[in-house]
Amino acid sequence: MFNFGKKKPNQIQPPVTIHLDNARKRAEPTPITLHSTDLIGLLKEAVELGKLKATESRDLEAIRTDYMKTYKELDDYHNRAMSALDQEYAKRNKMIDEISAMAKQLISQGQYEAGQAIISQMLDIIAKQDSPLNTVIQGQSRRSI
Amino acid sequence: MSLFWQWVIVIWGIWYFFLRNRKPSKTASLKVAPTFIEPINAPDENLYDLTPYTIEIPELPELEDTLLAINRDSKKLRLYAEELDRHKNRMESAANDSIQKFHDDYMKLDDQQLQIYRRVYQSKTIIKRFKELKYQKISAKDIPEKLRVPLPPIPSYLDAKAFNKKYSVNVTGISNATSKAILNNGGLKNANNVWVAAIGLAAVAVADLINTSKMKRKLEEVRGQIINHGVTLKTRTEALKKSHSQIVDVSYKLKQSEISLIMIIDQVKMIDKKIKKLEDVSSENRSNIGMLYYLASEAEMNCLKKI
Repeated sequence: MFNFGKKKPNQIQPPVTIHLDNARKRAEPTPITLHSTDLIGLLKEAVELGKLKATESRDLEAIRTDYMKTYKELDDYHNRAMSALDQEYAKRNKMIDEISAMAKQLISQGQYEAGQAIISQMLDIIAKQDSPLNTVIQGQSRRSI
Repeated sequence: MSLFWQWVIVIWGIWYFFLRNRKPSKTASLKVAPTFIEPINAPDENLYDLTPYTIEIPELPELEDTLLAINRDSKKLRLYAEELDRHKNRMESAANDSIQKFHDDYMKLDDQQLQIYRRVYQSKTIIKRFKELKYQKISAKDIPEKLRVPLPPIPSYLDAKAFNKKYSVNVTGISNATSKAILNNGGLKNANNVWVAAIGLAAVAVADLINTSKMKRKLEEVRGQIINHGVTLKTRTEALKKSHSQIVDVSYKLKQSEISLIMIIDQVKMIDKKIKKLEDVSSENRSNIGMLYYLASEAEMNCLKKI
């Protein structure tokens, strides 16, 4: 019930995230407060440079890993969305073609009531359907379709 | 004032507040005579070319990372920032062109759906008198609402100009102190000044090296943002391409409906208006009426289709 001093599991950050945060911090420019006579300041800056150089390849790798992860998610969504869009258009066109053909046959045979019922249902379905393109656009920000 | 009048004033106030700015309905009338439509042609192949989004963005340039190459390294990184900018601009320009053309044809289709809907309305009005065919009201409001296709939001990335500004090393304080040490109090003949100047030069070099290392990190992040923005634009562009083929397809079907409806409406119009039962018309005319009913319904389906 109470959780004094205990960290929740989801509060523990994986090392990659920590590296990434640090990498981003280390990318920010820092003001130079150094004067040419300030030997101690120079030494401090030199140590800072040493740190930056030592962590450089790790930081670049952390940044790259992070955006490649996002890239993979976006690319996965792209493939899923394109496939879903194709399927949705094909399914809708096929359904309309088949039901239209059926309605046409019934009406030409003089079975107006049955033909009308089918057409009426079809019109309802079409009117209620969402725009497939809009579904993809809406899903892009949350990467879900 | 009685309670009754107080309530009247409150209700009037509410009504006035909500309805005062109500604009007159802009829904198009179906009673207007329809105009002829021109089928929309398939767009140019290059319009939805995905190359700008799939082209590989070069990696960070190789740097010499030595004291003597500070300026060369810094210049390489600044040129790289400009290259990233060019990539991003090329992608956005291509995506903008696709969206513009898509939008133009989408608006054309929207108008075509309205014109055919007017023919559907005409057809329904003509066959309304035959009670065996159930009359279903239609309204221009049923035509799908126009879809807004925006460009995906641009990530808040650091462009080349902002990058140059942010990572310009301001060493004025150091430079001033160094200059003074070189020029005043006997200049470099004074041993003390030589030390000060040496520390100053070392400080400038360290500041530049620090800056270069930070620039690398930032540019790697910007590269990632642009790569990922490219995938988002690719998805949007390819989705538009697929939807544009639907626009062309629906437009073609609407044209077919227009041709068929015009022909059959003329034939059905010739039937004596006093006849109100299908059983009283000839079998040929009955077939024409049935066909008109079917064609109108088929056209209606294509008018209601959402892209």
